[in-house]
Amino acid sequence: MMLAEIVNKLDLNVLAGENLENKCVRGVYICDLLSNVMAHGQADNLWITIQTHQNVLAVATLLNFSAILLPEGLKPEQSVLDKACKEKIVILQSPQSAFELAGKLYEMGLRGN
Amino acid sequence: MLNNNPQSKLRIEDMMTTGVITVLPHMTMRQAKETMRLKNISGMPVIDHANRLIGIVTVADVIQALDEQKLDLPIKERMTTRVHSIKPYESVNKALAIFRQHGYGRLPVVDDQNRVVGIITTNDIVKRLAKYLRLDEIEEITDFPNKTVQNHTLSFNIKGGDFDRAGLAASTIKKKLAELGISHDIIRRAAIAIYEAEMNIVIHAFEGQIWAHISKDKLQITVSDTGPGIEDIEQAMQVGFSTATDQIRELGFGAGMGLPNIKNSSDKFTITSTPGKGTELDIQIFLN
Repeated sequence: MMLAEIVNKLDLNVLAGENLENKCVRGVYICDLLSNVMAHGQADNLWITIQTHQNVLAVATLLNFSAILLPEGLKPEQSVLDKACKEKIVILQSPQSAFELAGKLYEMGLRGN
Repeated sequence: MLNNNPQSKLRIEDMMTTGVITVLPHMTMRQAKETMRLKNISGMPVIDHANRLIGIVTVADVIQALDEQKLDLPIKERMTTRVHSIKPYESVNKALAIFRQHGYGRLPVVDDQNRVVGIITTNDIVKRLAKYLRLDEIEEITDFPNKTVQNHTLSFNIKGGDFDRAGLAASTIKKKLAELGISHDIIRRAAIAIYEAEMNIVIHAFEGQIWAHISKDKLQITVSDTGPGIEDIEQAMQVGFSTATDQIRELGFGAGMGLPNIKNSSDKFTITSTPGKGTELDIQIFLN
C-alpha cells in the first residue's frame, strides 16, 4: 500500500518528508523500546511510537522504515524535524491513540510482520 | 586497551581550572550563596587558614539551607565534609571514574599536602578531550591493495552520552555495505549489531571506538570502550537485564536487549570486559 493513501485515509499530519506517493508500506510495527524495534522491525514498515527524540531517526534509517507515525498529537523538537527532512525520513502525526491507528490500519488491510 | 588510549596520557593539571574560588568555614551560607550567584558557579571548596581542603559547599546545600531558613549558619555546619579530591598528576580517567561512580560534577584538585590548587569539572574534560581526540572525526582507510578484492576499514570515535550523534557509525557502515552490493539480510544484521554496540557506548561508557573491517568473506567489527565494564557478562547477556538509569529508559533504551541483539545478529561474537576499565566486543558477520 502506498504511504500517500494511508496519510489521506487516516488524515495524518505530515511533519517531515516528501514524495509520499512513491513510498510503499508493507506492514506496521508498534513499540517504544528501541532495541525491540531494532530486533523486530522490518523494511517498509510504518512504525508507530511515542518516542520523539533524535534516535528514532537512526532506527528508522537503519531498518529502512517507510515512515514514523507519532500518535496522540506528539511533536518532536524542531531539530529532530530538520534532521528528518535532511535525511528524507517521513514523520507523520495523528491526534488518535496508537490503538485507534492500529485498528484503522488493520481495517485497511495492513498487517504486522 | 587503556595504554593505547590518548585519554590515559592526559593528566588533571592539563585540564583543571586554577585560581579557584574558595570559601572559609566560618563564613555564612548566605555569603556562599552570594559568591555562587556573583561568580555564576555551582559549588566551591571550603578551605582552612592554610588553604587545605576541609569540605565542599554546593548549590544543593544552599537550597537546603534556604528551605530550612538557615542561611545565617556558618558554612562548616552545612558543608559536605567527606569530599573526594584528585591530585594534579593523576589521570583524567580517574576523575571520569569518580564522576561516574558518584554522580559529581566537579572535583577539587589538591597537592600532596591537601592544599587546593585547582578544580576540575566534567565540562572541562569534555571540552579538552573533544579538542584533543578530535572526536568529531570519522576516519576511513580504504582500498588496501589486494589483487581480488578491496578491503575497507572504517573507524569511529563515539562519545559517552552523545545521543545526538548516536547511530552515525551504524548508518555510515550500512551505507558502505550497500555500496558494495552486500545482501539486505546481512546489512540488516550488521546495522542492528553496530547500532546496539554504539548505543552501549553512548549509554554506559565514557568513550569508545568502533572499527569495521570489510573483507571478501566477512565483516569484522571491533568495539572497544573505556568505561565501567561489566561485572557479570553472563547476566548482561540475558534478555531483560539492564543497568540503565530511569532517564535512559524513558528514551526507550535500557531494555536489556542490546547485547542479546548483537549476539543474535552475529555469526561469531565474543565479549570481554574488565570492571572499572572497559569492554571489548568482537563481532563477525560472514558475507557469503
